[in-house]
Amino acid sequence: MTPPLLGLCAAEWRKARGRGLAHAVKGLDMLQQKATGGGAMPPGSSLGAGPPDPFDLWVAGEAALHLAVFPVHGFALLFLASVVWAEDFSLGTLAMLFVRPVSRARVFAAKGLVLLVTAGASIGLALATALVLGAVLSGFSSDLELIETVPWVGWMAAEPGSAARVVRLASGLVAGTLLMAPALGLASLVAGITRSPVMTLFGTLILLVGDFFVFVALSAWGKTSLETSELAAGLAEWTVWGARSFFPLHGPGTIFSEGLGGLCGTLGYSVVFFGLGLALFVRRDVT
Amino acid sequence: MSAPLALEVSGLSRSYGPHRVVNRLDLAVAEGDIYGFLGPNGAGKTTTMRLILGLIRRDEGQVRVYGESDPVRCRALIGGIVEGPRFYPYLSGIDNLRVLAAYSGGCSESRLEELLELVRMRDRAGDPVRTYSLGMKQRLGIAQALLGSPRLLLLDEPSNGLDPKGMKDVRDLILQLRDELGMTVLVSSHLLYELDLLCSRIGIIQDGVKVAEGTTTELLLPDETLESCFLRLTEPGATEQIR
Repeated sequence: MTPPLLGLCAAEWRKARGRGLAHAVKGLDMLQQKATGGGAMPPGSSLGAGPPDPFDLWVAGEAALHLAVFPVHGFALLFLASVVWAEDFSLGTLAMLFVRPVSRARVFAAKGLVLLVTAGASIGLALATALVLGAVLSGFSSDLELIETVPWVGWMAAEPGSAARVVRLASGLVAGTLLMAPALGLASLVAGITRSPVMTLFGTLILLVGDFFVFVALSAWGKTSLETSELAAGLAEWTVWGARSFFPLHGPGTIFSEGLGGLCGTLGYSVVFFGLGLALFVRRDVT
Repeated sequence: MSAPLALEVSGLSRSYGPHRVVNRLDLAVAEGDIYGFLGPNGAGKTTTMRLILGLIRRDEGQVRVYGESDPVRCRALIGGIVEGPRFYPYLSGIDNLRVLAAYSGGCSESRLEELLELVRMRDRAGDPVRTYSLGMKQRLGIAQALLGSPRLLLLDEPSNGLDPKGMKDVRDLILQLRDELGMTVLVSSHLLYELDLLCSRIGIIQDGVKVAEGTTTELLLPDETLESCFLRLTEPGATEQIR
């Protein structure tokens, strides 16, 4: 009998939970929301200085999405990914899995799925925390004109309909999860090469930071008056970091009309990294 | 009429660079046998086990388990431990079995309890594996090898590092599995005494080549012990004579 993929995912989840790491990722995201007032006072905001605070529930949620996706969540998730991808190599337990009647591709898929679902769930949980805290701290104020110039959430001032904002918030949740896919795929590739959780964590971080510097350099070059500046600016958008450009569009713009390039770039990197990671996972000997 | 073959290995080879670790190896293990796979350190026993289980790729050769050659279907019929059982140290014994059971297609809680009872690990099943002794890990290793109800067990040096009591426990357990569940067992070791007590047939491997195979009666010369037989067959030059 071929084991169902859902059963394999449950087994991977049991391992991540046993390590305490899965809860740590979610917990860190929730703590971050608490520390920042549930998105009621996003960094850079001049608001919160005096009452009345004009944030409502959805504004808090939108701020939370940005907070969850960038600073802590990425690192915490990468830590979990390093363990999920590489721990079986370092503990020698991979041999115990590979002697089972299951293809290696299925084992790989279970690990990848658990990570993607954890990414989405932890962002969702951060969002829920922010909504609750936002409600407690700010109530249901509907005076949104004051937030027009606030980073990340200003677009909501011009979007008074709750339904439209909720839809875009949901699309932000999906976009935020997708944003993590290239990093998770890269971690699978590095794990296949290094076979060590520590090397996977630092190796992936080094590559991602390297990619960020390439993005910064190309962007700076793109702003010069050199002949090749246009090419450099174009290339910057095709780095892993540059391809994230579609994420803020879940708010004021439309991902498909304005951020298709970035979306394709992110999906492309995900497919390439996961593909190479899978090839190594399937082909390498377990000694 | 001879018993049908549980495991049939033909022309199995594997090289690491220029060094051929397993060289055109043939093995035939009949159903219900406890087959001892004997050889000095580095002879190619573990590599052969890994090749049979599909953990490493073979350069050439065929492996059939109860006539089945598809790797995934073969593994459904095999339970194994290679180079000592490895577990998640932060999970309890039963949680480790639950994780591995999911990869074997699922297993009921009552079956897990049954297996823990069989290897006499029920009392400590809830404790983290990091607190287990080597003997307990070996017993849990045998329990995990039995997940999914395999018909053929591959045990790579299951008595390694165990004290005499632990060795006897493992030996008794293997005999019980053969006698009560009708399992076929391929057990590798360099502990001659253990295999002598356990196995119905023995194959001796040296430098990746099978140098002898048979029952102990067939292998031993008059007044010869298994130890001196083993030394005679694995002395330098013995492999060249076979080739």
